[in-house]
Amino acid sequence: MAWRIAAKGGEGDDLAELYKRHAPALHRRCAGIVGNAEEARDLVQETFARYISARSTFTDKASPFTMLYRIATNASIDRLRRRKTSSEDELDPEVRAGDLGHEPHRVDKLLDLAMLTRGLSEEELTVAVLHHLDGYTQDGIAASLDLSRKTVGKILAKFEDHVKKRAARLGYEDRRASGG
Amino acid sequence: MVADRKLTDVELERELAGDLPAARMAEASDADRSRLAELRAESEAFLRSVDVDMEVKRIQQRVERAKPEKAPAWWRFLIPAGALAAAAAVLLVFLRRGDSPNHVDDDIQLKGSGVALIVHLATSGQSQQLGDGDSVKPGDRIRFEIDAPKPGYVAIFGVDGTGKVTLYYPDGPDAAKYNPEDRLMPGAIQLDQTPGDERFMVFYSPKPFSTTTTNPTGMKLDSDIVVLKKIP
Repeated sequence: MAWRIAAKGGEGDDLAELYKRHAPALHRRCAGIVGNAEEARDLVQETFARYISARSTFTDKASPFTMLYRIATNASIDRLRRRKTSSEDELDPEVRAGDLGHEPHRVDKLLDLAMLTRGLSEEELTVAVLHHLDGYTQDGIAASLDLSRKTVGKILAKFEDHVKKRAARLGYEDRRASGG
Repeated sequence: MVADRKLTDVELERELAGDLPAARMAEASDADRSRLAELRAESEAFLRSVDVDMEVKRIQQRVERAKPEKAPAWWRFLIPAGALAAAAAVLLVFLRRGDSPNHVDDDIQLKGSGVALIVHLATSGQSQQLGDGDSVKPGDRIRFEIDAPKPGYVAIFGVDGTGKVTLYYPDGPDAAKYNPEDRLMPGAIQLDQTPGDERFMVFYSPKPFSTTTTNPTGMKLDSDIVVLKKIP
């Protein structure tokens, strides 16, 4: 029996059709972050499962693509956090690059973002990753996610504030002040 | 982005998914169309490489596994903040010594990066994720999600604006078992009228620990904190 995913407007989507329409893009997104095609396939499954489970609680008017894209970005970054934690942080950058299938500088950016975006919403995290990892301009993010330029600016400002607070809480400012 | 590109890759992905407005696609450059063709070919190759029916089956299995055993509205478990305050909690005494879990007594070693506390604000049967510095008000209902990499044991404490420490989860002297598959903690709390910031802290350990231990020496706990601003 085909699963039908209830949409807010009353229409339904066959899960297989939804998968065929969105999974390739989600797979590219996940693989671009975790650097592993098989793990990305698993993340795509997780993305659809989360989307279906939370569908009835969505409050904004974002399209299924945007919602799925946000969830996929969040799930992939989440996976990196767990990997970083379980590997006890300090791996050789080239080893990490090989593991992630990325250039070393991208790995460092990814791991930093993974830790700094904890606690952000899926939308905020997606905007932060597009800007700081993928190099999107604010206009590019706005067009990509159907947000206003003003909203993107606000989210990025909030992210920077979040990073500063986190750094302060971890004592980075004190250490810099004392030359440590 | 390449100079003669007008659309981002994400917009082209939306086009492939039938989600991009036609007016926007009409602005595409030759470079955009070339990139679109590449993405389309990759998408077709991906779909040829997977068994869609099997993927759908696995997604369905994940959805079924994620369903709670009982699914009543979670606010039926609503617990007034403060009702679960732990008496004689020596661990809490140590917590009072610092403003954050990273400044507690040296006897307790806090690692700080293995667990994340995610706070949700419940509104009309829905929920909104809150981040550090977000505002809440008295009467708001809060639910907790814990993100840790492996099964273990967890406890959630709160410190209100007066410095009063409350054990929110679990309701007992022993840290609760944690399974990464069940990140959302049962129950919810309702914020009271106490003014000032609300600090919520999670402690995680792969081994059982007591929330009221009298001998914290050598305890190794992962921790995370979320600070919310309470507005009257």
